[in-house]
Amino acid sequence: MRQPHRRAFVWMALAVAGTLLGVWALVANLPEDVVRDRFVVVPNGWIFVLGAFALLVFGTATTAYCYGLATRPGRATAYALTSGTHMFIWGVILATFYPVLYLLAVSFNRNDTLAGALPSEGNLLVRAGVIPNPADFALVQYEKVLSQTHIQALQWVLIGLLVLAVLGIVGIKLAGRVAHLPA
Amino acid sequence: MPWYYVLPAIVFLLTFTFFPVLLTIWLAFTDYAGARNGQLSVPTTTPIVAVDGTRITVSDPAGLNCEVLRNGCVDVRAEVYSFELLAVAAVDYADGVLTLAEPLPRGREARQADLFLPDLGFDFSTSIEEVDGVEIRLGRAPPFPPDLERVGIQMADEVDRRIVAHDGALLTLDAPLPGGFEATAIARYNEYGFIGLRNFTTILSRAQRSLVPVFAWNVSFAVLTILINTTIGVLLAVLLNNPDLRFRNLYRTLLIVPWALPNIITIQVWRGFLNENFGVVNRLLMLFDITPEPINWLGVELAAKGAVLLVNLWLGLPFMMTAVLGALSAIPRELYEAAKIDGASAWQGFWGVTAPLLRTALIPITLTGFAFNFNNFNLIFLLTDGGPPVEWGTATARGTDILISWAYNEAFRSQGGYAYGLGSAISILIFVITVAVSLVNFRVTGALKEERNT
Repeated sequence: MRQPHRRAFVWMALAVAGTLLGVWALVANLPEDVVRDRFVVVPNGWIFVLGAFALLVFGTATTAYCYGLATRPGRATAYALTSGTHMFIWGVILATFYPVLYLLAVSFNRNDTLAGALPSEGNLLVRAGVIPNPADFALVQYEKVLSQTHIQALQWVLIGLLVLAVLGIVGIKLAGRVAHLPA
Repeated sequence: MPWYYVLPAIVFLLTFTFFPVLLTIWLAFTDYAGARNGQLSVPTTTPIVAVDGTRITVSDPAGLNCEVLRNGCVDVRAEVYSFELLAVAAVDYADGVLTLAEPLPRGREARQADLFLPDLGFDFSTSIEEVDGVEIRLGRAPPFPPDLERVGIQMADEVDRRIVAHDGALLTLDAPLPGGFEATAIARYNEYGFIGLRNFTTILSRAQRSLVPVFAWNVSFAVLTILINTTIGVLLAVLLNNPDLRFRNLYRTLLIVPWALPNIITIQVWRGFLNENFGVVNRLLMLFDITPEPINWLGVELAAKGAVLLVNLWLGLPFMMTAVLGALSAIPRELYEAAKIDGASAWQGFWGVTAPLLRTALIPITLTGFAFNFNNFNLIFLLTDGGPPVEWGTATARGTDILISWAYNEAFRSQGGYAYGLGSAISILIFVITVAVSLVNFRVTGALKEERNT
């Protein structure tokens, strides 16, 4: 059985530092954005994004591999592959959740849409209209919906019963736990 | 078993299965449509200027709109009206009810009341809702009190006739009008009837521009969707089925969230994402200079087809992943352990254990997915609405139309809407195609093959 390399922790720290530094360097050196055809454009931005992505994947896999070498050398490759799996799944989750979050963001937007004119200030992604502008956050849509909601007396009674039922279930659960506590 | 035990089932079967099927088959051989629905067409009411026996002359033949009927206005039912304005006196008016001095003559229908309003100095006309003796309930109450001495009631009478010949403004009826009947106007019925195979020949004559390309895209769409969704679904499921993967339950939960959201909303969100000018997809592509100019996702055929597949992947992935995860959980862990002891790598384990055992479970999943996507009307209707228009197509068969959306366009968006005849004929063709595709599917995949134990 291979012995753990304690020195690999140092390599791991170097891999983390190198990855973060590399990504930071790429982001910091992004060319100045321009407006073309109503769109915010970073000239040749894809090279930087691709570079940062590759660096992130490679850096994470290397970090996981080093951690494996430092703890269980026989599993180091598996650790690197697993880190790749996590990154891939998080990528899929991001793509899956973006429309969901967008829907949520629209509901909190004062203009009732995110497809309007682009903001002139803020983060690059905000100015490009890729993520919602925090300055447009408002509860007006919810206020509107709730102001048009009229709850009848019977519905208040049903809500009360529901709350009582939930409290009852929680109470019974807690009572059960207390009863099973060691003396 | 007594016969009445199965009676409810037979009644339901006849009502909800046989009747709609028979109605569809029957309608496929008729020209039933919104413009030919068998009802009286009030907008075609045209004034009559002369009557000579069975021959009547109308003032405006175009008003009868005979072009939409299969034989013009020949052999079409019509209603001939006689209108007469009776000058009557009223004794009272209150709350939309006019009380006359004497009851109206019997046998004819009171259609409209013309009241003179002295405060305004002109007449006010309204429909009559109900006549009860001397009391007349008006459709609308006049804004000012009417002059009770100057009340006009339009009386109407009508007779049913059939137009047997039609030559410009001259119409020939099947029988003369009754004596004393002063014809003033005529309106025709929206007649429909049996037209044999004309619906089918219409569809097949345009097949090169509608049926064939739409069918080809329909099959490609369903097959590509299944291929893409299954590949990515299996990949994700295999990754998430690894018991050593941390947070895998969290990942599974997060990845099925899109399933919980209603398609009607999420497809609209995607439609917004794919907007050429304001969509997030173009904003992202432009931001990183991936495309030199924004892509017209929903306005160019190839891009729209790609967009349909992309959105369907987003919509279908949770189902495919969950279904495959269920199938994977049925594979015994011991098989993987045995393979590992035999020295198999993860790759060999996948192709030697997972793939063969998954195949049996995947066949019904992919077949169901294929059948669902073959008729995935929601996605096409809400995302692209069948568009964009293309050179090879027609107004009802466009870039991303599938058979069912094309049938919808033909049935409900042409010929005054509700072209049930043509729509039914297309439905029958789709039925034949679907059965053929399913049989090929079953044959190729062996889904219906019985297991032999001997």
